[in-house]
Amino acid sequence: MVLLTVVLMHLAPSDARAQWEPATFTELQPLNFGFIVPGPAGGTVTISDTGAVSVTGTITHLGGATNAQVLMDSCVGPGRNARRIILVPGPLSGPGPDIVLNQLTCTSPGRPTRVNRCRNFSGTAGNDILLIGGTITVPAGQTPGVYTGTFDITGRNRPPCP
Amino acid sequence: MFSRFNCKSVVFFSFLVVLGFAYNASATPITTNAEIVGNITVTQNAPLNFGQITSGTTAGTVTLTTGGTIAASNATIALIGGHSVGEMLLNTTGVPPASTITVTVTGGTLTSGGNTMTVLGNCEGPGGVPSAINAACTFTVTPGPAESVLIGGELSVGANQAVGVYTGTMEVTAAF
Repeated sequence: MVLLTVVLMHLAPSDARAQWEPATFTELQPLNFGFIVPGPAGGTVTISDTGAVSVTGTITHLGGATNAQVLMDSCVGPGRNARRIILVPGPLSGPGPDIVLNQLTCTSPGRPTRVNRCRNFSGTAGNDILLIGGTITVPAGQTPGVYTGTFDITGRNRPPCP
Repeated sequence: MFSRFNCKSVVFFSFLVVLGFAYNASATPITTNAEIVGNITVTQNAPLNFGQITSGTTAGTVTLTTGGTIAASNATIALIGGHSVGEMLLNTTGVPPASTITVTVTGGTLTSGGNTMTVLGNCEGPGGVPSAINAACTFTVTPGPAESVLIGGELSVGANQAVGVYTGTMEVTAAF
């Protein structure tokens, strides 16, 4: 018991700078996979985090794709805004079976692309725009129509704001 | 009195408790979209008909344009009439606006009993630019159930071609 008490006192957030707080995200642009013709064997469609389109299998892509752009609050000063951003894929639903969103990729200012997460150390106060892409699998015979869904994004900030 | 093992367990537990209070993220949903486009379906609205033809002593061709003009390659072939341009309908429902479509017409053989003639095709989509004989036509479409594509062709008629009604098919395919 003595040891437990000592540890809690040492790590408890008596200093507000040690706390992590949920970050705030605002969708500026959805992740849109565009118009897709599956063809006889289907395949995958990938939108890169910078918006480039690539396909596999017999898929024909007819345009209309955009990467997602998400505004993240950045209210902390230089050297203090280490944030871990987690992306959780979700399926796209429509007139046929759900389309699987396999994975997401993300980049942020000055940071490399990562899978299902972003890492941001912009070092300056202000708002950062995260660029997010993803990959879906479209089987042959997928029912035509519009499919929609969401993926979740979470992150954390270390205040205080300047 | 703590053993060495027990001390480590307590420290780890305490760390989890602190993190749990300090960080409680809520998820923000971001929209995803995709639109699946079905294959283009092609159906015949009108057959390609070269009409009544009298063959001559010299073999030649009869050409029927997508505009409906018919002509023979030599004077020994007489064109009596009754010809009509073919028309195919493309169902382009669900395709993005101004999609580019390529239609290919594959020639075939017309038969009457044991006698035959060969035919080649061409096409003309919305926009009014016909392809050359045996060449594909490319055009843009508006999404809808019945985009019209006109079909013309070139019929090879033998010298003293046997009399009869000749029928056959050509294959029309459409692709993005």
